[in-house]
Amino acid sequence: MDRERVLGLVPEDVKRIADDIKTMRIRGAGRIARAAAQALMRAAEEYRGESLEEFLEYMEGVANLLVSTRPTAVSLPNAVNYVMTVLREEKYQSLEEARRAVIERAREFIEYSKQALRRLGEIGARLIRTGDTILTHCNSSAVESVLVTAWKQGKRFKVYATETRPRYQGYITARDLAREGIPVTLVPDSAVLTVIEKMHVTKVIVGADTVTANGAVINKIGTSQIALAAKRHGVTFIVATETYKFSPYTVVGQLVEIEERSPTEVLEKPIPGLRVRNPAFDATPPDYIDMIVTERGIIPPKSAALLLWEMFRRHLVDAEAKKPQVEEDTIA
Amino acid sequence: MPEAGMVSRLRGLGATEAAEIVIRDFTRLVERSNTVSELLEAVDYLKARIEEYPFSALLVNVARRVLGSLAAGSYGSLGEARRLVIESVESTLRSVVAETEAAAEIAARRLSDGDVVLTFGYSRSVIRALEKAAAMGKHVRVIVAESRPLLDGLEAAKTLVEKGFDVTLIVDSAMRFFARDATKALIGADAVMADGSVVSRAGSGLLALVANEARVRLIVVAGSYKLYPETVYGLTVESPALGDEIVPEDLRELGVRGYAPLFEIIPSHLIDALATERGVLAPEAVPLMIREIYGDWPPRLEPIDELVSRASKRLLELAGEEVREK
Repeated sequence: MDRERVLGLVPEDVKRIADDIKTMRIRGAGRIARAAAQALMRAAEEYRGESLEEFLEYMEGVANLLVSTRPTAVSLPNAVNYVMTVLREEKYQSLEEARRAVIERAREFIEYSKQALRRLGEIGARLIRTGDTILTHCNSSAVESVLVTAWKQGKRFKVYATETRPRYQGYITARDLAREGIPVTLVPDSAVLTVIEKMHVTKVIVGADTVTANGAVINKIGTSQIALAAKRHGVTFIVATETYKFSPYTVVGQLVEIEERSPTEVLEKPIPGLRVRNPAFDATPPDYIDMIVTERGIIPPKSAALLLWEMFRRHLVDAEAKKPQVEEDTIA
Repeated sequence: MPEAGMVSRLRGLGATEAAEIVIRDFTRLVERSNTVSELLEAVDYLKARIEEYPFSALLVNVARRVLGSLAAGSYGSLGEARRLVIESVESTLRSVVAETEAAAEIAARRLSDGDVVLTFGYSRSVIRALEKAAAMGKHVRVIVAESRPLLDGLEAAKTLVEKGFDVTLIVDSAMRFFARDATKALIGADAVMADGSVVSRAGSGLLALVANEARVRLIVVAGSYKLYPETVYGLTVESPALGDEIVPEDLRELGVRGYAPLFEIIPSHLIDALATERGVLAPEAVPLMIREIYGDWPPRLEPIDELVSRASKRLLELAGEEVREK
């Protein structure tokens, strides 16, 4: 089925979700993943045709549409593939059966992703101590989960949040944390070195858009220079992320494409003759990262391959994907 | 923490321009002074600006010369005192221009045809160095970080575009991303300290780090009027900072605070070379330059406060003499 025809069939609210992801009204790797699963669910529910073959093609079309919205965050194709696996690897007798399977699978992903957020919050919160001064960059629901969980456990700490130019997602972090009662101070991205030194930052915690097979973390532009500054000052650098942001593509050697966004995000009114570059992400080398906190546990970044093999190799071998499950504490 | 009042009024200006504006205001006050007490007010104005803008080596150095000549007291009337002040200001500003030009010329020689220069903030010394390199026939591309919160990098980018340079503007967070495209890093200084460290806009330290990591040479362009000899004796200054004014209203209501330091110190080990009017030197060789300029190492310095009180005393004596003459 060609793109035109798929677009003709796609329900309006699914198009809206795709558009919201593209324009960053829906943003953050976790939210994007859940929104994509939601969109697939809606697309299946709203499909009005009668043929199973056409439904399968149509769903692949919707999947492509969703994946093409943002190139860097692997959570998007991971979520889409997670849901689409049931169509790609199972045989169905009827349209209804296939439709039910997609809806069920999408629900499962959304539920998993919420559980994962809660679980990694619990694990990450154990790393936070009363008296900590924490620096964070951009806005990450995983980081918020860690900090809010720790705060609710009665740990007392302060947070410095970068503004995060060009789109100021730091404002979202500041608002969310302040609403929980956590003391938070906004700082310009250029100030992180002075903030680390003068404010005696004890930990840096950031989220991730993509984790690669060798343990590099692709996250909001600026993350890698904060990691460099933290390394120079011996400050612990922690990445908090759900495992569905680990990229199976990098296992087979694919590079992560860094999305370059519109110059108008940096400079509203263009100045003739002035070029503006606006890469949205950068790669932090594993050497600068102390640990990655996931819902399945903490790993040193260079063990990313272990997680990826655990998650995807088994899955690629068995046609039947194992239902992911957040495992509860075994140490308490 | 000092107030950032004056610094934010001088938003978007390089260190030298900002200090020059203060010095011109001071000169105007001196020119308009009809009584000794008005002249004393002008001296107080200069002293207050130094306290507001503690990193400005130029301001401190001008004050030292002006106050020194007032304290020496080789004048017999208010008119002569006024003339003395104005002459010493003018000769200082002339030497600032000459030193900047010479330092820029030397920095320009360190640039090569095809260089891609990464810079941060607004520095006239850097802009002049780039212009001189272009005049030497070297084609140089520039990558400028916008330099929040004052956006002085954006000002620098505009100026360079007007001068015909190929300029790329990036957010401050993208410095490490673009460091691998750069072949040199160039910044100006607000002050050069006794230990060879350099005070520049907050964010320059990050630039120094990413340049160092990418093995891109960092050159600081600074005339010797940027030397801060008081630091030989352990003077340290707190960077002025913007505060809650950088936070949007709705977030402030939730209790979100703001902190935006305006300057930071770049350790000497991250700086490959200082380009001064006396030549290129390692930042660790700053004591050598102090000896050249002050004739001695350690330099013999009278604290600014003492200079102010000696100059004031001498001016009050002058007022007494004038009263008696009448």
